[in-house]
Amino acid sequence: MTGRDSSPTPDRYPLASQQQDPDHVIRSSKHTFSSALRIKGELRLDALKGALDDVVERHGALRTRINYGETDEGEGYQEVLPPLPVPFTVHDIPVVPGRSRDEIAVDVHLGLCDELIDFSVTPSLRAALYRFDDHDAVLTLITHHLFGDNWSSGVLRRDLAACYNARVSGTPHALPTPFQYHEYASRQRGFLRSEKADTVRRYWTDTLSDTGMYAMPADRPSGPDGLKSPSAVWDFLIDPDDSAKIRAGAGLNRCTAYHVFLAAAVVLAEKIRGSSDVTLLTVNNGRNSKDFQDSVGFFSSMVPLRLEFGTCKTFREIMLLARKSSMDAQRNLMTLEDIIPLVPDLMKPFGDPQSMPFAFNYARPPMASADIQFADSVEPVILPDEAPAMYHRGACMWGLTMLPAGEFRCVVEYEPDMVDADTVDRWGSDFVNLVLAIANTPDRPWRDR
Amino acid sequence: MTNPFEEPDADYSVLRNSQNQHSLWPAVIAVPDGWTAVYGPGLRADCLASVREHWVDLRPSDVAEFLAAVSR
Repeated sequence: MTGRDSSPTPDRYPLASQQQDPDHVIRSSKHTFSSALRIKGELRLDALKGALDDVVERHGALRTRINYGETDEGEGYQEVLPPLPVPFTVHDIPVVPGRSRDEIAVDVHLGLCDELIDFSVTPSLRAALYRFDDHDAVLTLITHHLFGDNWSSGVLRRDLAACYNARVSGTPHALPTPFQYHEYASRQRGFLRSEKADTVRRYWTDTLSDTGMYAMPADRPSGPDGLKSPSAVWDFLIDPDDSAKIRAGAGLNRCTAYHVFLAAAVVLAEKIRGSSDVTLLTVNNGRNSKDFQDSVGFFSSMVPLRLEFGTCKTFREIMLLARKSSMDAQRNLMTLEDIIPLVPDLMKPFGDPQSMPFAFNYARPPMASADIQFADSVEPVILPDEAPAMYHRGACMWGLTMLPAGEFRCVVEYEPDMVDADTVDRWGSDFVNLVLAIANTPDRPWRDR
Repeated sequence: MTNPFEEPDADYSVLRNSQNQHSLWPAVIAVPDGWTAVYGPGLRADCLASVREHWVDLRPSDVAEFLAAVSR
């Protein structure tokens, strides 16, 4: 092997299933990941700039160029470029009468949600610092979805903090050396050709061959394209007390809050559609191998979870079924791109104009607050009302996030042209009530709901 | 004159547009705006086989958009 540094052309690696883009959709510059961090205390700009460059050096995904091979008919590939400096701008925020710094920080975050980044830009990390004064600022970070996901945003924050602290203190950081995303992509390609993959394909074919993805019934069909109205959001914060009870109730059954949420979602689906055989489209963080816990890249994927709970009697049985279904899927993890060709009818319900495609996402903060600290304090800027950041026509997105303080937030994003706010409010309230009932009274027969 | 779109022995190309729709196109006619040749020119039967192979994505393009938007 010749030294990589002297090599005139970067090494080429296959694309992961997540990065394939036959419909020219994922690559859109609107598919971004962004973070806004409020930093208080003395901040050394040289160290911050250097730390951003360190992060890009650590994670090859952030300096990757994708060639989709469409013009030359070849297979697509990705190549990892040598370390590159991160574009970093510093802005002083003028005093705005009548607006507090907290409100302005939220404005900065909202502005960031609308920012675009082209997928071909390298590095795929752009940073801006908005300063209130020398000791109070908001740092914004943006990457393209092809090179990151929710989990990666947490890794990025942690690594930035460690690299900054190392530069300021002059002592090396203690971060683990991350596996690189191209390694994941190559392993995934190898896996898809393996015998194990045939077993996994059989699991998905057996599990999903006679079902369709659950979609929410619309109040009316969607209007013609071009008459898009902005999506609407139903936002509910479960208070700290109830959030603690949900965790405790799940724990008593060796389940997690996620299993409680899944159980509540399928019972709600049964109430709405009348069938106790429900296949939910869920978001999976894709980190099923420990090797990639510290890596940045597009690992997340959509995974169908099927729960047939007609024979279950109590909430507890559904919660346990949710755990089993989710563990089975985790053991047989394969991206939706690779599952769909096995069960072509699976996605049909999403094409029904009277229905809204439904997706269920539960995101925990991947990093503890203590791991992202530098200067005097660093906290993510939290939006008081969740912004409709992921709008898609005709969709109903059911998101649960755990805030850093431990409360659960339930956000339903939907298209107001297709469904009334009252309908969504009823679904949302029913869901939260079910979550609490499952956690607090697991022995109740679910049909009494 | 025969219709160039229905000439079994002529050469054809496979075109694709931004919606990932595919079209069989006579090689003698210029590629229209908004479309890219992705196969050929070649035999009509080979072009049809290429369309069948590459246009297997059964998701409506709206669904592809949806999946991209929700995969976090």
